[in-house]
Amino acid sequence: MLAAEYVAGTLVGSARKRFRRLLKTDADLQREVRNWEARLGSLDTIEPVAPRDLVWTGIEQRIAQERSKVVPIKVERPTVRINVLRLWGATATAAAIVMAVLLFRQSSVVAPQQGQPQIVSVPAQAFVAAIKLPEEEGQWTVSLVPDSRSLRIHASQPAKLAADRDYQLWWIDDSGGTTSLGLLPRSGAFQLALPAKLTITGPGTVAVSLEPAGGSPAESSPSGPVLTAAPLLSMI
Amino acid sequence: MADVERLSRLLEATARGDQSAFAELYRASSSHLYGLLLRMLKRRDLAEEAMQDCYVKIWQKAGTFDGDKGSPLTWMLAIARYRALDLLRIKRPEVVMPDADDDFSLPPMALADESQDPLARTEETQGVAKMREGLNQLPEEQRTAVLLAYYEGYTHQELAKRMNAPLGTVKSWVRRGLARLQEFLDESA
Repeated sequence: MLAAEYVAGTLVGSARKRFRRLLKTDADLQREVRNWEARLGSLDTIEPVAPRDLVWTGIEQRIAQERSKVVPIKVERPTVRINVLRLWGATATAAAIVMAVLLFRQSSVVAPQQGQPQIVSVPAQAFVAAIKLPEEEGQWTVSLVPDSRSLRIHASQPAKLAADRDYQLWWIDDSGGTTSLGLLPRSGAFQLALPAKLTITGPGTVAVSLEPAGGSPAESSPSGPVLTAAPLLSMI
Repeated sequence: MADVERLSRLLEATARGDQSAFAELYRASSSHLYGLLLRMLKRRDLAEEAMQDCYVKIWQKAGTFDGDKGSPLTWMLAIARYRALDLLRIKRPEVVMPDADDDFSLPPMALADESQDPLARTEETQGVAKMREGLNQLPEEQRTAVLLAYYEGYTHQELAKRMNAPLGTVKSWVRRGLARLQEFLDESA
Protein backbone atom coordinates (compact mmCIF):
# COMPACT_ATOMS: atom_id res chain seq x y z
CA MET A 1 0.00 0.00 0.00
CA LEU A 2 3.03 2.26 0.38
CA ALA A 3 3.39 2.31 -3.39
CA ALA A 4 -0.21 3.50 -3.76
CA GLU A 5 0.33 6.23 -1.18
CA TYR A 6 3.55 7.24 -2.87
CA VAL A 7 1.79 7.63 -6.20
CA ALA A 8 -1.26 9.31 -4.66
CA GLY A 9 1.14 11.70 -2.94
CA THR A 10 0.08 11.16 0.65
CA LEU A 11 3.40 9.55 1.53
CA VAL A 12 5.39 12.62 2.51
CA GLY A 13 8.58 13.84 4.14
CA SER A 14 11.22 11.37 5.25
CA ALA A 15 8.96 8.38 4.53
CA ARG A 16 8.71 9.55 0.92
CA LYS A 17 12.46 9.98 0.67
CA ARG A 18 13.05 6.52 2.13
CA PHE A 19 10.57 5.06 -0.31
CA ARG A 20 12.31 6.77 -3.22
CA ARG A 21 15.61 5.28 -2.16
CA LEU A 22 14.12 1.80 -1.96
CA LEU A 23 12.40 2.30 -5.29
CA LYS A 24 15.72 2.75 -7.06
CA THR A 25 16.74 -0.86 -6.47
CA ASP A 26 13.57 -2.81 -5.69
CA ALA A 27 12.06 -4.24 -8.87
CA ASP A 28 8.84 -5.37 -7.17
CA LEU A 29 8.28 -1.93 -5.81
CA GLN A 30 8.99 -0.41 -9.21
CA ARG A 31 6.38 -2.67 -10.76
CA GLU A 32 3.85 -1.79 -8.08
CA VAL A 33 4.47 1.93 -8.54
CA ARG A 34 4.12 1.58 -12.30
CA ASN A 35 0.81 -0.21 -11.83
CA TRP A 36 -0.51 2.56 -9.64
CA GLU A 37 0.78 5.23 -11.98
CA ALA A 38 -1.11 3.54 -14.78
CA ARG A 39 -4.26 3.08 -12.71
CA LEU A 40 -4.47 6.54 -11.24
CA GLY A 41 -2.84 8.06 -14.28
CA SER A 42 -5.74 6.89 -16.40
CA LEU A 43 -7.65 9.79 -14.88
CA ASP A 44 -5.01 12.35 -15.61
CA THR A 45 -5.68 13.18 -19.20
CA ILE A 46 -9.01 14.78 -18.72
CA GLU A 47 -8.62 18.49 -19.30
CA PRO A 48 -5.75 19.37 -21.61
CA VAL A 49 -4.76 23.04 -21.50
CA ALA A 50 -2.33 24.53 -24.00
CA PRO A 51 0.59 26.29 -22.32
CA ARG A 52 1.77 29.71 -23.47
CA ASP A 53 4.32 29.65 -26.29
CA LEU A 54 7.04 31.17 -24.17
CA VAL A 55 7.10 28.03 -22.02
CA TRP A 56 8.56 26.16 -24.98
CA THR A 57 11.11 28.91 -25.58
CA GLY A 58 12.14 28.57 -21.94
CA ILE A 59 12.50 24.81 -22.34
CA GLU A 60 14.52 25.17 -25.55
CA GLN A 61 16.83 27.54 -23.77
CA ARG A 62 17.30 25.15 -20.85
CA ILE A 63 17.95 22.25 -23.24
CA ALA A 64 20.53 24.31 -25.10
CA GLN A 65 22.24 24.86 -21.75
CA GLU A 66 22.06 21.15 -20.98
CA ARG A 67 23.66 20.34 -24.28
CA SER A 68 26.38 22.88 -23.84
CA LYS A 69 27.23 21.25 -20.51
CA VAL A 70 27.80 17.92 -22.18
CA VAL A 71 29.40 19.01 -25.42
CA PRO A 72 31.33 22.23 -25.14
CA ILE A 73 30.23 24.33 -28.06
CA LYS A 74 32.19 27.10 -29.62
CA VAL A 75 30.53 30.37 -28.77
CA GLU A 76 30.34 32.26 -31.99
CA ARG A 77 30.63 35.96 -32.08
CA PRO A 78 27.22 37.44 -32.75
CA THR A 79 26.81 38.77 -36.22
CA VAL A 80 24.51 41.62 -35.34
CA ARG A 81 25.84 44.39 -33.19
CA ILE A 82 23.59 46.80 -31.46
CA ASN A 83 24.72 50.35 -31.19
CA VAL A 84 23.82 50.86 -27.59
CA LEU A 85 24.62 54.55 -27.56
CA ARG A 86 22.35 55.27 -30.50
CA LEU A 87 19.58 53.26 -28.89
CA TRP A 88 20.03 55.23 -25.76
CA GLY A 89 19.42 58.43 -27.67
CA ALA A 90 16.28 57.05 -29.18
CA THR A 91 14.86 55.73 -26.00
CA ALA A 92 15.98 58.38 -23.59
CA THR A 93 12.53 59.87 -23.30
CA ALA A 94 10.99 56.51 -22.61
CA ALA A 95 13.62 55.90 -20.05
CA ALA A 96 12.89 53.26 -17.58
CA ILE A 97 11.97 53.78 -14.03
CA VAL A 98 13.92 51.31 -12.08
CA MET A 99 12.22 49.84 -9.17
CA ALA A 100 12.98 47.11 -6.87
CA VAL A 101 12.18 44.93 -4.06
CA LEU A 102 14.28 41.90 -3.61
CA LEU A 103 16.35 39.55 -1.77
CA PHE A 104 18.89 40.47 0.73
CA ARG A 105 20.69 37.38 1.56
CA GLN A 106 22.95 37.33 4.53
CA SER A 107 25.48 34.77 5.27
CA SER A 108 25.89 34.10 8.95
CA VAL A 109 28.22 36.36 10.79
CA VAL A 110 30.85 34.53 12.73
CA ALA A 111 32.94 36.17 15.40
CA PRO A 112 36.49 36.51 14.14
CA GLN A 113 38.95 34.11 15.64
CA GLN A 114 42.66 34.16 15.35
CA GLY A 115 43.87 32.55 12.21
CA GLN A 116 40.29 32.10 10.99
CA PRO A 117 38.92 34.01 8.06
CA GLN A 118 36.28 36.47 9.06
CA ILE A 119 32.91 35.94 7.43
CA VAL A 120 31.03 39.12 6.85
CA SER A 121 27.49 39.51 5.65
CA VAL A 122 27.24 40.18 1.96
CA PRO A 123 24.07 41.24 0.21
CA ALA A 124 23.15 39.06 -2.73
CA GLN A 125 23.36 40.95 -5.96
CA ALA A 126 20.18 41.58 -7.77
CA PHE A 127 19.51 43.62 -10.86
CA VAL A 128 16.40 45.12 -12.27
CA ALA A 129 15.36 46.86 -15.47
CA ALA A 130 12.10 48.48 -16.44
CA ILE A 131 11.18 48.31 -20.09
CA LYS A 132 8.81 50.61 -21.90
CA LEU A 133 7.99 49.81 -25.51
CA PRO A 134 6.77 52.28 -28.16
CA GLU A 135 3.43 50.64 -28.97
CA GLU A 136 2.61 49.46 -25.48
CA GLU A 137 0.94 51.14 -22.56
CA GLY A 138 2.22 48.77 -19.93
CA GLN A 139 5.78 48.14 -18.93
CA TRP A 140 7.86 45.04 -18.29
CA THR A 141 9.96 44.68 -15.19
CA VAL A 142 12.93 42.36 -15.44
CA SER A 143 14.57 41.23 -12.23
CA LEU A 144 17.62 39.09 -12.15
CA VAL A 145 19.45 37.36 -9.32
CA PRO A 146 22.69 36.09 -10.87
CA ASP A 147 23.41 33.80 -7.90
CA SER A 148 20.18 31.91 -8.38
CA ARG A 149 20.66 32.13 -12.16
CA SER A 150 17.03 33.05 -12.52
CA LEU A 151 15.31 35.82 -14.33
CA ARG A 152 11.79 37.00 -13.65
CA ILE A 153 9.85 39.16 -16.07
CA HIS A 154 6.58 40.79 -15.20
CA ALA A 155 4.18 42.57 -17.55
CA SER A 156 2.14 45.32 -15.92
CA GLN A 157 -0.51 45.11 -18.64
CA PRO A 158 -1.32 42.63 -21.40
CA ALA A 159 0.75 43.23 -24.52
CA LYS A 160 -0.98 44.62 -27.61
CA LEU A 161 1.26 43.06 -30.21
CA ALA A 162 -0.08 40.72 -32.88
CA ALA A 163 -0.42 37.03 -32.06
CA ASP A 164 2.22 36.08 -34.62
CA ARG A 165 4.85 38.30 -33.00
CA ASP A 166 6.84 38.16 -29.80
CA TYR A 167 9.09 40.55 -27.93
CA GLN A 168 12.48 39.03 -27.27
CA LEU A 169 14.79 40.16 -24.49
CA TRP A 170 18.54 40.37 -25.06
CA TRP A 171 21.53 40.89 -22.86
CA ILE A 172 23.97 43.30 -24.47
CA ASP A 173 27.58 42.81 -23.50
CA ASP A 174 30.19 45.55 -23.38
CA SER A 175 31.17 45.07 -27.00
CA GLY A 176 27.58 45.13 -28.24
CA GLY A 177 27.26 41.32 -28.51
CA THR A 178 23.83 39.86 -27.81
CA THR A 179 22.62 36.85 -25.85
CA SER A 180 18.96 35.90 -25.79
CA LEU A 181 17.39 35.93 -22.35
CA GLY A 182 14.02 34.69 -23.58
CA LEU A 183 10.69 36.13 -24.59
CA LEU A 184 8.75 38.78 -22.73
CA PRO A 185 5.49 37.33 -21.41
CA ARG A 186 2.45 38.78 -23.15
CA SER A 187 0.86 39.16 -19.75
CA GLY A 188 1.56 38.31 -16.13
CA ALA A 189 4.86 37.01 -14.90
CA PHE A 190 7.31 34.50 -16.28
CA GLN A 191 10.36 32.94 -14.75
CA LEU A 192 13.32 31.72 -16.76
CA ALA A 193 16.73 30.27 -16.14
CA LEU A 194 19.70 32.39 -17.16
CA PRO A 195 21.64 31.00 -20.17
CA ALA A 196 24.48 28.79 -18.92
CA LYS A 197 27.14 30.57 -20.92
CA LEU A 198 26.14 33.96 -19.60
CA THR A 199 27.75 35.41 -16.50
CA ILE A 200 26.42 38.69 -15.26
CA THR A 201 28.48 40.26 -12.54
CA GLY A 202 27.61 43.90 -12.82
CA PRO A 203 25.05 46.33 -14.15
CA GLY A 204 24.56 46.27 -17.91
CA THR A 205 22.08 46.74 -20.67
CA VAL A 206 19.17 44.73 -21.95
CA ALA A 207 17.35 45.32 -25.23
CA VAL A 208 14.08 44.16 -26.74
CA SER A 209 13.51 43.22 -30.36
CA LEU A 210 10.32 42.52 -32.27
CA GLU A 211 10.40 38.94 -33.54
CA PRO A 212 8.20 36.34 -35.17
CA ALA A 213 6.26 34.25 -32.66
CA GLY A 214 8.66 32.03 -30.76
CA GLY A 215 11.61 34.39 -31.08
CA SER A 216 14.44 35.14 -33.47
CA PRO A 217 15.29 32.31 -35.86
CA ALA A 218 18.94 33.27 -35.36
CA GLU A 219 20.14 31.79 -32.10
CA SER A 220 22.28 34.61 -30.87
CA SER A 221 21.02 37.76 -32.51
CA PRO A 222 17.78 39.62 -33.15
CA SER A 223 16.19 39.20 -36.57
CA GLY A 224 13.70 42.03 -36.22
CA PRO A 225 13.95 45.69 -35.24
CA VAL A 226 15.36 46.52 -31.85
CA LEU A 227 12.68 48.53 -30.10
CA THR A 228 14.37 49.70 -26.98
CA ALA A 229 17.27 49.26 -24.62
CA ALA A 230 17.19 49.72 -20.90
CA PRO A 231 19.77 49.71 -18.15
CA LEU A 232 19.91 46.71 -15.86
CA LEU A 233 20.73 48.34 -12.58
CA SER A 234 21.89 46.96 -9.30
CA MET A 235 19.16 47.06 -6.72
CA ILE A 236 21.38 47.34 -3.71
CA MET B 1 -2.86 2.74 -30.70
CA ALA B 2 -1.09 4.91 -33.20
CA ASP B 3 -0.61 7.67 -30.66
CA VAL B 4 1.16 5.41 -28.21
CA GLU B 5 3.45 4.27 -30.99
CA ARG B 6 4.02 7.79 -32.17
CA LEU B 7 4.86 9.09 -28.71
CA SER B 8 7.12 6.11 -28.06
CA ARG B 9 8.93 6.75 -31.30
CA LEU B 10 9.35 10.43 -30.44
CA LEU B 11 10.69 9.56 -27.01
CA GLU B 12 13.20 7.15 -28.54
CA ALA B 13 14.37 9.82 -30.98
CA THR B 14 14.55 12.33 -28.14
CA ALA B 15 16.78 9.92 -26.22
CA ARG B 16 19.16 10.03 -29.20
CA GLY B 17 19.30 13.80 -28.94
CA ASP B 18 16.93 14.56 -31.81
CA GLN B 19 15.67 18.05 -31.03
CA SER B 20 12.98 18.20 -33.67
CA ALA B 21 11.49 14.95 -32.34
CA PHE B 22 11.55 16.49 -28.89
CA ALA B 23 9.72 19.55 -30.21
CA GLU B 24 7.10 17.30 -31.78
CA LEU B 25 6.80 15.35 -28.55
CA TYR B 26 6.19 18.63 -26.76
CA ARG B 27 3.50 19.68 -29.22
CA ALA B 28 1.77 16.33 -28.84
CA SER B 29 1.91 16.13 -25.06
CA SER B 30 2.32 19.58 -23.52
CA SER B 31 -1.37 20.38 -23.12
CA HIS B 32 -1.86 17.19 -21.09
CA LEU B 33 1.03 17.88 -18.76
CA TYR B 34 0.12 21.54 -18.47
CA GLY B 35 -3.52 20.76 -17.70
CA LEU B 36 -2.40 18.45 -14.93
CA LEU B 37 0.12 20.95 -13.53
CA LEU B 38 -2.39 23.80 -13.59
CA ARG B 39 -4.94 21.67 -11.81
CA MET B 40 -2.51 20.68 -9.09
CA LEU B 41 -0.55 23.88 -8.68
CA LYS B 42 -3.41 26.32 -9.29
CA ARG B 43 -1.10 29.14 -10.36
CA ARG B 44 0.03 29.75 -13.89
CA ASP B 45 3.53 30.89 -12.91
CA LEU B 46 4.15 27.75 -10.85
CA ALA B 47 2.69 25.52 -13.56
CA GLU B 48 4.88 27.15 -16.21
CA GLU B 49 7.96 26.79 -14.07
CA ALA B 50 7.10 23.12 -13.46
CA MET B 51 6.53 22.60 -17.22
CA GLN B 52 10.07 23.73 -17.93
CA ASP B 53 11.45 21.43 -15.23
CA CYS B 54 9.41 18.49 -16.50
CA TYR B 55 10.40 18.76 -20.14
CA VAL B 56 14.05 19.25 -19.27
CA LYS B 57 13.74 16.05 -17.26
CA ILE B 58 11.94 14.29 -20.11
CA TRP B 59 14.77 15.40 -22.39
CA GLN B 60 17.35 14.00 -19.98
CA LYS B 61 15.52 10.80 -19.08
CA ALA B 62 13.91 9.87 -22.39
CA GLY B 63 16.34 6.97 -22.67
CA THR B 64 14.97 5.37 -19.49
CA PHE B 65 11.43 5.11 -20.85
CA ASP B 66 10.51 1.48 -21.41
CA GLY B 67 7.55 0.98 -23.70
CA ASP B 68 7.02 -2.55 -22.43
CA LYS B 69 6.29 -1.26 -18.97
CA GLY B 70 3.76 1.46 -19.64
CA SER B 71 2.44 4.07 -22.00
CA PRO B 72 4.54 7.11 -22.90
CA LEU B 73 1.88 9.60 -21.84
CA THR B 74 1.45 7.92 -18.45
CA TRP B 75 5.21 8.06 -18.01
CA MET B 76 5.34 11.77 -18.80
CA LEU B 77 2.30 12.57 -16.67
CA ALA B 78 3.91 10.76 -13.75
CA ILE B 79 6.97 13.00 -14.11
CA ALA B 80 4.69 16.03 -14.04
CA ARG B 81 2.74 14.76 -11.04
CA TYR B 82 5.83 14.10 -8.96
CA ARG B 83 7.23 17.49 -9.86
CA ALA B 84 3.95 19.12 -8.86
CA LEU B 85 3.89 17.23 -5.58
CA ASP B 86 7.43 18.36 -4.81
CA LEU B 87 6.58 21.95 -5.62
CA LEU B 88 3.41 21.78 -3.54
CA ARG B 89 5.34 20.57 -0.53
CA ILE B 90 7.77 23.45 -0.94
CA LYS B 91 5.35 26.15 -1.96
CA ARG B 92 1.99 25.18 -0.57
CA PRO B 93 1.89 28.07 1.91
CA GLU B 94 1.75 30.40 -1.09
CA VAL B 95 -1.07 28.50 -2.68
CA VAL B 96 -4.40 29.54 -1.36
CA MET B 97 -6.09 26.61 0.30
CA PRO B 98 -9.85 26.52 0.17
CA ASP B 99 -11.36 26.78 3.64
CA ALA B 100 -12.93 23.75 5.19
CA ASP B 101 -16.30 25.43 5.16
CA ASP B 102 -16.08 26.27 1.47
CA ASP B 103 -18.80 24.80 -0.57
CA PHE B 104 -17.45 21.33 -0.90
CA SER B 105 -17.34 19.80 -4.30
CA LEU B 106 -15.21 17.28 -6.07
CA PRO B 107 -12.46 18.55 -8.29
CA PRO B 108 -13.34 18.99 -11.94
CA MET B 109 -12.03 15.53 -12.75
CA ALA B 110 -15.59 14.84 -12.40
CA LEU B 111 -16.13 11.29 -13.29
CA ALA B 112 -18.66 13.01 -15.51
CA ASP B 113 -17.58 13.86 -19.04
CA GLU B 114 -15.50 11.70 -21.24
CA SER B 115 -12.54 13.54 -22.60
CA GLN B 116 -12.93 14.75 -26.13
CA ASP B 117 -9.25 14.61 -26.67
CA PRO B 118 -8.36 11.95 -29.23
CA LEU B 119 -4.98 11.17 -27.71
CA ALA B 120 -6.44 10.67 -24.28
CA ARG B 121 -9.31 8.72 -25.70
CA THR B 122 -7.39 6.17 -27.68
CA GLU B 123 -4.83 5.58 -25.02
CA GLU B 124 -6.78 5.71 -21.84
CA THR B 125 -10.47 5.11 -22.32
CA GLN B 126 -10.49 1.61 -21.03
CA GLY B 127 -8.44 2.47 -17.99
CA VAL B 128 -10.55 5.54 -17.28
CA ALA B 129 -13.80 3.59 -17.46
CA LYS B 130 -12.52 0.95 -15.10
CA MET B 131 -11.10 3.53 -12.76
CA ARG B 132 -14.37 5.46 -12.68
CA GLU B 133 -16.21 2.29 -11.87
CA GLY B 134 -13.75 1.51 -9.12
CA LEU B 135 -14.02 4.98 -7.65
CA ASN B 136 -17.78 4.93 -7.82
CA GLN B 137 -18.01 1.85 -5.67
CA LEU B 138 -16.01 3.46 -2.85
CA PRO B 139 -17.78 5.01 0.11
CA GLU B 140 -18.01 8.74 -0.42
CA GLU B 141 -15.40 9.83 2.15
CA GLN B 142 -12.86 7.37 0.80
CA ARG B 143 -13.46 8.47 -2.77
CA THR B 144 -13.19 12.14 -1.87
CA ALA B 145 -10.04 11.61 0.19
CA VAL B 146 -8.31 9.65 -2.58
CA LEU B 147 -9.32 12.15 -5.24
CA LEU B 148 -8.31 15.21 -3.26
CA ALA B 149 -4.96 13.64 -2.47
CA TYR B 150 -4.47 12.68 -6.07
CA TYR B 151 -5.90 15.68 -7.86
CA GLU B 152 -5.00 18.44 -5.49
CA GLY B 153 -1.88 16.93 -3.97
CA TYR B 154 -3.27 17.25 -0.45
CA THR B 155 -1.31 15.83 2.45
CA HIS B 156 -3.11 13.96 5.24
CA GLN B 157 -3.07 17.12 7.34
CA GLU B 158 -4.57 19.18 4.55
CA LEU B 159 -7.20 16.52 3.94
CA ALA B 160 -8.11 16.52 7.63
CA LYS B 161 -8.59 20.28 7.53
CA ARG B 162 -10.49 20.32 4.27
CA MET B 163 -12.73 17.38 5.15
CA ASN B 164 -13.10 18.48 8.73
CA ALA B 165 -12.17 15.11 10.15
CA PRO B 166 -9.49 13.78 12.52
CA LEU B 167 -6.08 13.03 11.02
CA GLY B 168 -6.27 9.30 11.80
CA THR B 169 -9.64 9.07 10.12
CA VAL B 170 -8.57 10.65 6.84
CA LYS B 171 -5.43 8.53 6.81
CA SER B 172 -7.54 5.41 6.94
CA TRP B 173 -9.95 6.79 4.33
CA VAL B 174 -7.07 7.18 1.90
CA ARG B 175 -5.53 3.84 2.74
CA ARG B 176 -8.76 1.88 2.62
CA GLY B 177 -9.89 3.70 -0.49
CA LEU B 178 -6.69 2.79 -2.31
CA ALA B 179 -6.82 -0.80 -1.03
CA ARG B 180 -10.40 -1.25 -2.22
CA LEU B 181 -9.55 0.27 -5.55
CA GLN B 182 -6.71 -2.16 -5.93
CA GLU B 183 -8.94 -5.12 -5.08
CA PHE B 184 -11.57 -3.93 -7.50
CA LEU B 185 -9.12 -3.37 -10.34
CA ASP B 186 -7.37 -6.69 -9.71
CA GLU B 187 -10.67 -8.56 -9.71
CA SER B 188 -11.86 -6.96 -12.92
CA ALA B 189 -8.49 -7.33 -14.64
